[in-house]
Amino acid sequence: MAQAAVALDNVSKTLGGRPILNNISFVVEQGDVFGYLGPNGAGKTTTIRVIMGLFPPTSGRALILGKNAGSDDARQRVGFVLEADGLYENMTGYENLDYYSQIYGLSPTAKGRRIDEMLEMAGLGDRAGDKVASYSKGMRQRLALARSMLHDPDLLILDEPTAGLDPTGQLEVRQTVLDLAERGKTVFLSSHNLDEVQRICSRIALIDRGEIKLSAQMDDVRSGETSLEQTYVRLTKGGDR
Amino acid sequence: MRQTTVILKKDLREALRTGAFYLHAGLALVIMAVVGVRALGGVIGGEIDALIEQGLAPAEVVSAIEPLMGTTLVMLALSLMLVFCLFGTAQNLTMEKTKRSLESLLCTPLSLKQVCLAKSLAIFVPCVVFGLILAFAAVAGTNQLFLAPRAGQSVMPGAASLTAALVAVPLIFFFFVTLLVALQLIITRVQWVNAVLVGLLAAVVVPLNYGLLGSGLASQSIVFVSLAVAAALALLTLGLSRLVTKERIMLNSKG
Repeated sequence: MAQAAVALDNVSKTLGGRPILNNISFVVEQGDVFGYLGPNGAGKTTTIRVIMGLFPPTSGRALILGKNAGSDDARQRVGFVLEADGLYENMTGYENLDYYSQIYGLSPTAKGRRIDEMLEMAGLGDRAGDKVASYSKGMRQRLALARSMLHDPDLLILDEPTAGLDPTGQLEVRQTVLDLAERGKTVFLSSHNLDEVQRICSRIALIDRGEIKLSAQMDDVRSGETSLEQTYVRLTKGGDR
Repeated sequence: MRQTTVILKKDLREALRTGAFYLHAGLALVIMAVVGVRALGGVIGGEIDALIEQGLAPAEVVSAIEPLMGTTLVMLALSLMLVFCLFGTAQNLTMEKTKRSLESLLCTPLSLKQVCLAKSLAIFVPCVVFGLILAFAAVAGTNQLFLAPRAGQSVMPGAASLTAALVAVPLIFFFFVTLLVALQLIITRVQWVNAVLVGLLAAVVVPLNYGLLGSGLASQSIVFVSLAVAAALALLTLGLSRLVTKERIMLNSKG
């Protein structure tokens, strides 16, 4: 049986004496498009930081493809688009990808081809030589997605990848995620957008006040008596934290 | 090491594209021209005049002035590196933290040590190159404009001073930079770190310059003093490095 792409086992995280995550457990299988839902302040970003090895769990265990989440090996197999895209505005789109391709250790011969492929996929081939400062929000997000896939990772962590995008931009990002899923990549998608999650995710988990309130197959949610929106509102009691 | 070089090259390239880099290079040039050549020419020139008045032969004057010239070179090199660092290159990490590109870098397979080393070198390398070039240029300019006409020949720093300037001062500066980077990473208001260090520069290094020049500290002593300062900074950096964790960096990266 294949190793889980992400496995969180009773993970708790306390920051500044305040519990942020409280014994959360879930498994993301390889090939899943996993939607991670929850209101603002529920603990989504902290969960992502634990998965990315930025925050060590206070207790419990976080594994990425069978390896400790904090290990360099695990991070080598993960691509990410975080809440802030983290692009270098003074550099061109091409230079941003070139920089990360070197950090991920791509060989000089593979690097150029891979960057061109990713720019093509992101629809930025003709703007590759422009500084990122001149890009629209949608272009930046597509470039960040391209950067996340440079090293052909097995797992993609996407934190609100469509936030702030216009409908066309959202559609493009969703299509990219679906294309990745078709190629067998695992996608961990943190989102507020219930419609988006329903369209593209195969499994979901819902977090509120640092606790997992729901973990289910999307098909089961769809076939239930209540809609995802109703379930979300019921389990989170409505709003941001 | 290869990835450290990748970050170093990127940071240097990015720094060269910012207007602030050239503004601060210009500021360092002004400091060199005003403090380095004008003031030092006056101080050392006055010293030469006094020795000549005492009836010393030109060779004896040159020999008597040599330690002072050595101290000048060492302190000027250090001052220029600090000015260029605090007003210029050290701002890059501040930007990377507030724009949160550092967060993305920490999610890559790079270790925290690699990131810290690369960020330190990206500040260290241009400052050392600029500091040494400008300090030697100031010594040459001072000789040409003020000293050679009085003493009849140029006064070059001795071997001990050259060792201090080329080895001990860069060593002091390297540990200063690693300390600065560690503080910038774990303190939320990075601008305060820079401001406090600029204040320290004004309060300690500048008076120290004049004090050392006035005392004419012997060349041998300046090597030992410099190495002792470098060792103290290294110990401080080592102690502080225990506090630098990814979690602490993230929690203090709110811009």
